[in-house]
Amino acid sequence: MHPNIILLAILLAKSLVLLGILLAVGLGTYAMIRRLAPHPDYRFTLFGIALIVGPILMSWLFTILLHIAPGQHAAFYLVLPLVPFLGFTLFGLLQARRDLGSSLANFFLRPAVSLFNLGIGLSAFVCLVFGLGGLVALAIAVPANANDPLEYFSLARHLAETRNGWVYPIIDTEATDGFTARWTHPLGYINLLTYSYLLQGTGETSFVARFVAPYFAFALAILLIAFAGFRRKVSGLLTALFLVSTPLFYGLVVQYHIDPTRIAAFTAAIAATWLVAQAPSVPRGLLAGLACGASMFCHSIGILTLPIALPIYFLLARRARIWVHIVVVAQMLLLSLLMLSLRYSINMSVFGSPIADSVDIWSYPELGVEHSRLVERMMETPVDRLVNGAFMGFRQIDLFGPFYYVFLLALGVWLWSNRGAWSRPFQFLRKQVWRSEADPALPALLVVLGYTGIMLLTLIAGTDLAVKNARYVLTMQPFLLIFAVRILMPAFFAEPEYRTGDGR
Amino acid sequence: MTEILRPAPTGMASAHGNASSMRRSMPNRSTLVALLGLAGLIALILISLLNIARIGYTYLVVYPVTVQSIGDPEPVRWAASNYGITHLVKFANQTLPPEARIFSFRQSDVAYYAKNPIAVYTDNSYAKLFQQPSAIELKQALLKEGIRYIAIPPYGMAEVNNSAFGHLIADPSLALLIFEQDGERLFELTSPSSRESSVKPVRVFDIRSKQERDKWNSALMPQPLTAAIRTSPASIEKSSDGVTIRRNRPLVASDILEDVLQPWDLTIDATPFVVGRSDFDVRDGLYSFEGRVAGDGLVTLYVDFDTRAVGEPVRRERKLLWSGVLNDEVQDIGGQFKVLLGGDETGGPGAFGKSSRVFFGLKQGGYLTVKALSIREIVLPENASGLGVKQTEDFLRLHRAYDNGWRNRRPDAKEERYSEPFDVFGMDRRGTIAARQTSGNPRMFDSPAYFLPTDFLTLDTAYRMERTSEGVKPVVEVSMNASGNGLLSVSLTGTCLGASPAAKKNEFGDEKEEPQAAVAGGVSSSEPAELDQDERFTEFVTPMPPVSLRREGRIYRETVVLDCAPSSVRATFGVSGDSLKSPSDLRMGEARISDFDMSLKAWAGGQEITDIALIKSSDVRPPRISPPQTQLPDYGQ
Repeated sequence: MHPNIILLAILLAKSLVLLGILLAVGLGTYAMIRRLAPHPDYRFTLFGIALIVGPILMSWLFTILLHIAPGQHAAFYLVLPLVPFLGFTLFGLLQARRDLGSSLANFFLRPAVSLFNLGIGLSAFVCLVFGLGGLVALAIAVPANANDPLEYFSLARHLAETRNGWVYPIIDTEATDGFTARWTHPLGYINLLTYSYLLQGTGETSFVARFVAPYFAFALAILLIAFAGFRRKVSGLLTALFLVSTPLFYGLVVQYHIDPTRIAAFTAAIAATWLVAQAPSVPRGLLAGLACGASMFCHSIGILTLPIALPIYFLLARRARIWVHIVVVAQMLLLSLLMLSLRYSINMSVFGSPIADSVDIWSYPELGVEHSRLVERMMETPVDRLVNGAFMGFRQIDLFGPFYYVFLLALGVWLWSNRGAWSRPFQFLRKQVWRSEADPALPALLVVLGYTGIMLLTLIAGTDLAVKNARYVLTMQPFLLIFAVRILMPAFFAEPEYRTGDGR
Repeated sequence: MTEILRPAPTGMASAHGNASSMRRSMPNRSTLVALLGLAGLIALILISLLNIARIGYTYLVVYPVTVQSIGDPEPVRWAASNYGITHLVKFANQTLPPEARIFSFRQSDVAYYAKNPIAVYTDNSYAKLFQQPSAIELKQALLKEGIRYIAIPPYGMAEVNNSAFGHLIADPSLALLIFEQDGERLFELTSPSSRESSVKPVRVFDIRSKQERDKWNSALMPQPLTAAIRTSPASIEKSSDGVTIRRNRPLVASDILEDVLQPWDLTIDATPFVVGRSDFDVRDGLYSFEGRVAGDGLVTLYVDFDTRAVGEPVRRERKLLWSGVLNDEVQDIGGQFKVLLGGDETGGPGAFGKSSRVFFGLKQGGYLTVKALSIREIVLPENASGLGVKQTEDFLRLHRAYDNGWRNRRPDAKEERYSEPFDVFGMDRRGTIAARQTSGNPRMFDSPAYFLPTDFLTLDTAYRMERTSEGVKPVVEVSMNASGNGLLSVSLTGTCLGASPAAKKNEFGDEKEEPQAAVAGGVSSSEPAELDQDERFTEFVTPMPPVSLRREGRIYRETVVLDCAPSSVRATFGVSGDSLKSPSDLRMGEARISDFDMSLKAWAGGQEITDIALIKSSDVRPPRISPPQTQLPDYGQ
């Protein structure tokens, strides 16, 4: 037997423990938020949200601990952040079993599943399992390799060694042998890596930490099955499959990039916002606020969550007392900013701005770094930035798959089927009938429009900040897919919508 | 809350409904639409599956997994990718003093995998280095920070080009290139006391001379057919001030359109290689280049070696010497590069030329004027201390690889077609998985040439065998244990004593100097000059059944009947992707061979009458042939 096999088995076991912990935290969160479902059909979506938001909240608690009580024993940080969640895990497990059982029953029974749905659903499911299983297998085989993840892993390793949150951002490189991390990124994803390193007990390999990204790919797939498949049979499965198989997304998971986590959190935030808009209430506003905070806590660009989530709430919220609306919006704003207050205030004191690129030499005019990058990225002129930047999804099929064109088709179908509304815009706007629809395609379309709008605005402002990287544009991908699949499936196949009986 | 519990929105009577109303409005949806949708849906699912498999497969190709390697420590797993940076880190870990600080223009890999302390260019405490006015002052500043090593990634960086770093790495008397692999470079600041190296001009392009200018011409990098129809090479102007190419910037920037400005009298052919004769040669060693260009756009400078060592077909290597973005300005360019041509049996570079060519590329518009360019060889002293030794070791290692007899052969240039990346499923030009070897050609490598034992190597013997072979045929048996992935093709090449059956009849009269000539003829069998010199030797190429490789290995044992009695024979292997198993753009394979053996027998009427073992080759351990490098995407920062 190979001598390293035992070592490998130990690492695998620890990775399973990590996945178990993340799942347990998600289940615990589900037990806490399950009651927020306005109707049983929403429970599955809440389950997806819980799987994503729970571990990020855990990471947030862990981060706070690293700041207020630095330098403790590793077990202290491993156990304490779990305490609020693990108490509920068993409840969550039981409830999830029942709710998932009824979701499954919905698929087969309500109304009885057709051969078409069974075939498509099963094949999508099998492909999805193949994709997600492949991610786990690759996490075992592929070492940490890409640029950004290697830096995150280096930072997480250092945080795990020092067990002190205040070392970040790393500006004084004395203690790190020259490694520098002058970023303003919140620590959501990175501290999940740190947690993994603590669990692993050694910094020699990134093994356990590699499973964080696949977990979030899995959780996002669950959320999409629920959210995009809301009251449908196969739409959710298809959306999840298409997202996971989007080449850029899949590749990012294998590189252990931050983006699968970030996109999962953003999607969860939008789903939570949609949920509270369906039935505005104070506790649901709390969830939306935490979900938005979790999204902002994953990455600097998460700051775009609120500018997109709040308009969605304004546009889609159903009727409720005005103070409920006010409280909901206030919760979304305040809770999320509160979650980020520590990071933003550190950033303000260190960099003078909550989000900043703080490499001095990039601003030296004689070096011309900025211009040089624009040319290298083929974004020198405004036309370039539009075609190669904002609409890169159409050109770079190798990264985004064929889905931008599918989306275009869906948009055409949608506009055509709503042509009555466009011919009488004022009546349409006055009645606001869309508020009474529970179709996730609407928030998805709003996200696509909002995100594209933000990209265009930044382009007009002359910066390529929002489009410089295909990873940023990928943020829209789940929503593009939700819209496309939800519009096209009934247009082509008359996919029936079900609705479970009230209560239970 | 009550609102939520209303009847489902499907029952909505609104005219502005979403898709559900559309369904109602078209109750008799034609079957055609549904079928069309079904076809599209199935296509999408298949594409998804393909994408998942493709990306997973790519990573497994880059980081191969075997039972032995799966448990390896992470740095070892990482190094399995064979990327240039892994070699640089390995070199640094093994060679540099452990406390030596590396100034790195890319933090991630070096910070994570190298043992040495680092200094990173994005660290603001080093920002003042980028304000140093000259290379000498920059060197002083670096030394003051305790930094002697600089690592530079294989792409152009404005931070290097436009600061004193660009000048520093161009001047071998200040900083010497001590490591280079696939463009990853490591420089060492020379010790101030001793000037260890000197330079010797190899080629100076004197633009002021008309004769020199006349050679320069422009061409286009090979493009997809559709793009090639629309575009023609940029216009070219020549004056004593420089040679200029100009192009109107296309409306949308494209990374395909690249104009070439080259000092050669021929153009680029359908392969991505320049064809034409070179007028300067390179040999194993260190080179520096210096030049001055003006331009607007993304400018690159490449060098192609076109080497032909003894016994080898043409090998080509393209190095990116310089790359940078010019903003309607004049720029001094410079740098150092390493040439390792390989060698022949005697250890030195081959005798058939080491011609090389340089050419400029211009992307994204504008113009490019070449004002000056010169290439110099850096002469290291014989017993150079420190870095010189490392340099020498590097060369020696390469020679050893050649000396052990196993030749690593690349396919002939003529057959190498530039295959367009597979657009639809994701091989982009910047390279999701664009292999360095983009052609579908197999990667070739040879066994040692097996010469027959001397007592057998006489015309007499051969003749006897020929004469007695009315019904007696020479048979070569190849046996080995081959493992890996892809398809291993096997063929026997070698020479026969005596010309082809028709020509040889009256040739076997004198037989004096055959053994020596046989050796030469056997090795460089493809050289026509040698064939003329000794026409008694004919070459043969006999294909043998290919074998589909498996990870766990399989025994290969095949025999082939030759038409003539061989004086030397060797097995040639080509490994390629198995087109049945892998996507067409992933034509790469990897082969490992052990227990290789080859024997020559004579065969007559169903029974072997003699068994002459060739050189027992079981003890020769072939090197592991690593797969062509696959470039993984780097999604930037």
